[in-house]
Amino acid sequence: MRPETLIPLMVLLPLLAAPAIFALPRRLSEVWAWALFISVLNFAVAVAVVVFAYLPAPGSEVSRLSEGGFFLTGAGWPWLEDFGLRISFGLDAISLWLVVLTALLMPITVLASRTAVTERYREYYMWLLLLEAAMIGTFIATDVIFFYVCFEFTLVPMFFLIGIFGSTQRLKAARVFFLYTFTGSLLMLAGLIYLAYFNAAQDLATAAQTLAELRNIDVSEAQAWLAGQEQAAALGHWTFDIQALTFTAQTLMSPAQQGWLLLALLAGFAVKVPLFPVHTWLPLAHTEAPTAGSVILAGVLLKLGTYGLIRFALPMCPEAVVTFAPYIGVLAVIAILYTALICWVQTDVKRLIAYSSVSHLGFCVLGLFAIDAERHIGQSGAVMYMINHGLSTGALFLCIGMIYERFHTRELAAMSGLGRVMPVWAFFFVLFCLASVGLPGLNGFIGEFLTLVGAFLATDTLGMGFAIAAGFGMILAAIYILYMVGKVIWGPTKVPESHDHNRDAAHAGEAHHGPAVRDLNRREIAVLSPLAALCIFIGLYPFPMLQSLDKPVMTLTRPAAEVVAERADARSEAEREQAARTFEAIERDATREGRR
Amino acid sequence: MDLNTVKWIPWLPAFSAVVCCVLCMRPAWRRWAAPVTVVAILASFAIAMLAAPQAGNPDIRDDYRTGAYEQQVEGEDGIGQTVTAFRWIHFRDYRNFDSEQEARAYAEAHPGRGEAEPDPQTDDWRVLETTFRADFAYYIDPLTLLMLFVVCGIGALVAIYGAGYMSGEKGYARFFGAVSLFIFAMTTVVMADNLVLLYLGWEMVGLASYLLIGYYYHRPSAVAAAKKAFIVNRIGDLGFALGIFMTFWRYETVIIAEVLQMATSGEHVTDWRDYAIPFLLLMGALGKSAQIPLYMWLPDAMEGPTPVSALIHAATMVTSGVYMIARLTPVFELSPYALPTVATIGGITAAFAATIATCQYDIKRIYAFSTVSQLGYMFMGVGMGLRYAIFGGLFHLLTHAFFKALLFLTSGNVMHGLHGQLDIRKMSGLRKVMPYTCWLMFAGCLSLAAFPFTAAFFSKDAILAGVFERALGYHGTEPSNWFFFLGGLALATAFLTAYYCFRAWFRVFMGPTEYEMGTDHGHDEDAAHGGHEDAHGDDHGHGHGEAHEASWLMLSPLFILAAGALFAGFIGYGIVQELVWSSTAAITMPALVEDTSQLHLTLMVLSGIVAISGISTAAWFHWLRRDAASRIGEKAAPLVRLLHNKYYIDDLCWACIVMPLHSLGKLFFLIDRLVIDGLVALVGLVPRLMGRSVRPSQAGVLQGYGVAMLAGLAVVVAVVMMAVYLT
Repeated sequence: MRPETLIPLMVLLPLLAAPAIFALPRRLSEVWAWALFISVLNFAVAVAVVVFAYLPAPGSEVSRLSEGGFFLTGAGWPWLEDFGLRISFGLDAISLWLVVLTALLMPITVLASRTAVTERYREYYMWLLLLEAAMIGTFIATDVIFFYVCFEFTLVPMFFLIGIFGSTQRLKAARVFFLYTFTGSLLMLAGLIYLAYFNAAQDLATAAQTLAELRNIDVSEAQAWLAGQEQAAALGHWTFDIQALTFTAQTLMSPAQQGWLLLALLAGFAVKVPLFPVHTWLPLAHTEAPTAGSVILAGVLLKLGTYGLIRFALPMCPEAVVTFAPYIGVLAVIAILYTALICWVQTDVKRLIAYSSVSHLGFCVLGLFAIDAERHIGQSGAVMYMINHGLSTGALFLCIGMIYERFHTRELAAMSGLGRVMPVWAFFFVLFCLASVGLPGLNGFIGEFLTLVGAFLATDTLGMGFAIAAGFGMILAAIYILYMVGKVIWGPTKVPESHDHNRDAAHAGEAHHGPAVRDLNRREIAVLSPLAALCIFIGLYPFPMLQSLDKPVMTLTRPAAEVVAERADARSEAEREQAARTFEAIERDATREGRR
Repeated sequence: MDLNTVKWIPWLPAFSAVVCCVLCMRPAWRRWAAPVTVVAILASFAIAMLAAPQAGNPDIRDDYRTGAYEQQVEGEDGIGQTVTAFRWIHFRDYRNFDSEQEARAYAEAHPGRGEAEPDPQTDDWRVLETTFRADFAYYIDPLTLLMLFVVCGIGALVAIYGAGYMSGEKGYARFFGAVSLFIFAMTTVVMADNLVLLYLGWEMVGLASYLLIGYYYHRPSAVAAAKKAFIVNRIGDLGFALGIFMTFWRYETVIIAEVLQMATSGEHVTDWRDYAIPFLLLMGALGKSAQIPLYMWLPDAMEGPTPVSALIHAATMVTSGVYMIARLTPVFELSPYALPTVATIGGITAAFAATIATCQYDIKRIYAFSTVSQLGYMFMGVGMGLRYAIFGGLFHLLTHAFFKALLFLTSGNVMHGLHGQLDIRKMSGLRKVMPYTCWLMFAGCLSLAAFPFTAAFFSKDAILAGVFERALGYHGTEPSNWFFFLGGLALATAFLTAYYCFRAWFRVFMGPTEYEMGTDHGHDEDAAHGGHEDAHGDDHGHGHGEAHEASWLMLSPLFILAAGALFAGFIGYGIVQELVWSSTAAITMPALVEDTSQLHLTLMVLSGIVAISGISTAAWFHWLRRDAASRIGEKAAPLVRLLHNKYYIDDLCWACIVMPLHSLGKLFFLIDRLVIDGLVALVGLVPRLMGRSVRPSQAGVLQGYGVAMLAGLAVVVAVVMMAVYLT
């Protein structure tokens, strides 16, 4: 078996298993066991893919991962061949780690849902597996339409997960979630189709003409250059291949065209991220979704947005990205500070964490748009941030889910001092909170630090002011997270009233006399401990991951970095000329003075 | 012992922290937490004392010490040495070359940086090289050695004390886990080879401090204090982080040795970033070392168990700011205003905190403000930019670790014996009840008051001498009135210091024996009850026991500390001077050109007189004529109230910063809700516009949306098809 076949397997396995799980078994335990088995199997496949990624490709000495570009690519299956539509797939380090994250979170959420979902469970697990297929499909796609279909299809299972299994305001939440993100991604689709059309409408001659005009060079020179480029072969044909379209967009589109394309892409991705001011769907959806839904939303679905930005927006429209970067940076900083302050006044634990996601993703976007001529720290940091936020915030939602299962409330005012009655849970919760505030030594720090360094050093696009302003987000994060920890874990013990067994234990300090509140059982520890281990491991040894990210991230950010370098050159050139003119003028004046 | 073993110094306590976590699980295992921690810290101490002194090149030590050392040549062994444990954060970028030869030559000249390769998109050649490097690597030089002695030495003593003090507590293993974590973090701070790792330790000590201040987490005041400590530290840490960014921007590296080498190189042309870096780093130091304006957290931190106050909030963690400034002195020297700012903040903080300490009634708070004040002294020392002053600052760090740990631990004995009583108005004449504690604390107070020939007498004198050397313009500095003023302020502070520490001691141990037991129940009874802490300190009937002396497990470490507090001056003076002057801290400082022994002698006499007069004042008002003290206190009631309430600065901060931000958060949340509700209303219109009414049943609504969704997808597909066919 060739390793390439493993990649579509990760989509096909849950996709095919989902209807089977819906149709075949009857009892909850069977359905659950099968769903768990499928998702664990899929995780095993993902691990196998990682192993292959670290092995050298045949005929090569270095590992596939260190080569940088897409590896393990497969041409896939022809779909609508006449329109250049194929289902093609491939991985680079960025998508690889996101796929692994998805494949890891899925069995964990299935494991966590054992007791939370007792009705309509067949649908529930079906939707979860379909969701997994769609998410992995999004990350492995190397074809724009395949990407779009998967990207869009994630909405359907999530819509039903929120709408059927959510809490009181679930219908409102599902509705807002769906319409918000759907509208955005339609605009994105329009942009992508426009790009494909643009590509198909070119041929080598017109392309050379356009290129010559854009770069200010001779047509013949442009022709010669284009002839030397592999991806130029796709010009004039209908194709939806991401690399071919990226090449076309970054080389042949004028800054104005790129600008419109970027706006279209942003419409889809910024809503998904979500970036201020289009973030308002998120707190509602997160709060109302069932635990598994929140975990997947925070862990993976939000990353579809940032993944789209780095995969599409950055390489496709470098000119526009560099022009827009400061404005998007401002939005990101506003997102960080504005939502951090909102977090501080929340009374619902889950909504607090939901809002904190917006704040965190602000850091991620800030890193993505911290374009620097020489470095890619911001973008690599943003990718690290995606993965680490998925782990720590996903884990926080799981923790809150466990509390909700016990007490049927998430109100901060209803609970206090749970550290005494649920010490194991408290340990995990505090650990994930610390990872979330970016404590060095835990995973959250790596992404936060690197995105801030990136923003600080990218003097041509963002610069120091952005890093300082975003840095206040670090302080505010400590404030709201410790506010929550102080209320929930520490303080006099107060167990929520609604806890049926423990009505009389609600009085401070007497919890240990009444029937004890159940601390985590083995299953719940099994849910949280892999995430905890990863939080610590990545915090202390992110080295292999960072090394693998260098090359793919550089490939994606290089066009934008070149634009920054060109503009900086032009600026210094202009400054030099200005200085020379001033000097001449002074000299002229001096000679005139002297003559007099 | 092989130098490479030093990389285990932080990790042994880290493993012990993990082990303590495991021991938390079973009540029967908990008592093993203390031995594990003590053994781990002692092992680290042993490695530090045996392996670390081998680091560096001993031949150049003399040159360093006298200031004859000019500039480190690249490749030459410096005064310190780096030991790498494992790689952490690396970034690689391409360096472009115009021709193949250049690229190949570069790759050969810098092995390990990757190979020359052609750029597929242009004709250039390039080499992939690591441009950002922050490893778990440890830099060992004499300054590190001094700090390791303090951290591991005092750490081990406090852990032994804690084994007795905390016995019977439910959170016994949790306590030692956090202490181990703290030692891991603190050793990382003092050994870090790069600023990012230093930052890791820096924040982790903050975490350990958070966990330990909040140790009695059922007390809301402890939770609030822990939160405050972490957040105030984070404010400083933001400045520190920005300082690291700026350092990387300026020097293209975060490795301390490389930064120092560049900063001291004669070719270094300073620009505005060099002026900004020290101030940003200073922010971090102000937070961690509790200086104005970020000092508010330290007095509140006394909510933690007393051993923690001794170890973290007196001896070690709070000195990390002093250490960081000393470590990076050459970077600070690049900005003409940085070190004077450090000294000024230190001097003002020292006096400010000392005035507050004179009117506190809680023993631990008195010592907390005293710590802030003494840290101010250390800042003054390292901020002077002179050899004697920086030696004094770091020597004071060492002696302070001894006497302040001693003072805290003895006050812990008092607290332990009196069931949590700390109010000096409610105790008197305890010398008969706890004689050892009485005289141990006396030793600590003597040293804190800088009584002649105690340890702090020498260290404080070295700082004062440094300040006056600078003020009078010795060793090639300009004479300065401002430093003369700071020196006077330091002398006045010395008087206040002697007064407030002996005020506490005379109140507690002298006079008629009277005391009121505290409301915390004793640990022994607690253990008998099955070892639970209660949510609130209500009266369980054991608040009226007899005061008692501490156990020998708790007393024995105190004797070592007391010996240090009294005699470290004689023993340590030469050693510490050698260590400090032969480290990177002093390379940029002017050599000692003038003989200033006359000045030193004068200052010794002067500060001796100041100390004795302070002690006498305290003896008069708080031992012999207590009625006179209360009369004066009544007359100056507003002043006493002002000082007792810490100049109302905490309340001011709350009203001016915290409350407005919180209100802003509420406002933003309101806006967010309005937007979402508006959107929901808008969305509600859509189905109606489409001619569909919302169906009553939930499933119906969902199906309706499912159909709408599919319809939408169909429309999109149709649009795609049309676009395709039309072209």
